[in-house]
Amino acid sequence: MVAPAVTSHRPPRPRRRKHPDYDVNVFINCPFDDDYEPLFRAIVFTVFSCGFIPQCAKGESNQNLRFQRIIELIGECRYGLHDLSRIELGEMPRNNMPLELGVFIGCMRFGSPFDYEKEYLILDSDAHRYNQHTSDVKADDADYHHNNPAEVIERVRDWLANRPFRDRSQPIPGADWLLERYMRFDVDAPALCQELFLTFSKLKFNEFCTVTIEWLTQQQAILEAARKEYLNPKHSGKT
Amino acid sequence: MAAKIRSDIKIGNLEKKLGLAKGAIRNPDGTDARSDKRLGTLQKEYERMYAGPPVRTSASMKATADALKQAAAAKKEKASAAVAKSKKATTKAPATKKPATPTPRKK
Repeated sequence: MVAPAVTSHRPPRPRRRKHPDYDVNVFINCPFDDDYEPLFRAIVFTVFSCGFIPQCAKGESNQNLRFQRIIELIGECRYGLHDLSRIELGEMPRNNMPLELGVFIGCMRFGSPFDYEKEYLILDSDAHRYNQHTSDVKADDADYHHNNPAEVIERVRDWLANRPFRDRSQPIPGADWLLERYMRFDVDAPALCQELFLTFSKLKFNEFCTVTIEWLTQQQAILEAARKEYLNPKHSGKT
Repeated sequence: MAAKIRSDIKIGNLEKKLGLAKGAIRNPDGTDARSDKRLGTLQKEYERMYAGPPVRTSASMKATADALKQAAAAKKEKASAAVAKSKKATTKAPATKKPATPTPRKK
């Protein structure tokens, strides 16, 4: 005997539209503790420097609806950076990151057609540590950073440089150059913050993004000025 | 038609050609570029240091940036107005002269 079909009273899922910035949005899923702050800032800087837009749950501070907002953000981002370095064995682990990684993978598998394009990078503090805490992601071959901003910059830069959507006409500077830029940014940023009446050490995510964008555009303006003055001069004597 | 300057020109010769002062052309770090350095090398160094893909922003980030800039401009205006007010107050206030203390006469 065949069981009668169960009718569901759930309303149909609303249709999602592709976000206008979908192809350049990078969802950053990482811990938000004070020790991780230098790594987080290095990641945000690298993502901007590579021509992408970082997205993070910190962007919107509606505490009660945070997970709902995270789910929405995952739907808006093509790329995902997931740091599992705070799953510490033997202690009470932080399980938010694996949860969000799971949502990201689920969205990639069962979401709308454009969600099939999703790609993600898993980061961890040490090599092969994920074998112990999340062995199911073994095949994804997580990268490791030893909690060092220089290594994070290198890993994220190398991964973003190989993404298919990237604008190939604009080469991304190498990891060493990016690190040098980041160090210069670290020196210049407090003065930039002062202009905006902000404190560098207490910047919120959106404020940090503003300062980063401001600094990067200033740098590009310096290059433009040098180009105009003497890098690509045109001989205007003879016409 | 303007002709491009060859990238194998030396910096010293380029400064002469463009009528710039000696030492006007700088390395990316701000130091004076050697006169026998090639323009192509300098271009490469600048590209590595400053060039990159265009910086992209989202709508919410733009909104935050605009709000921050507006707030900063308003604060600056307020501060400058306060400074101007205090200056006016100091210039307008009648000069209060202290009564001259009588010097004791020598006997």
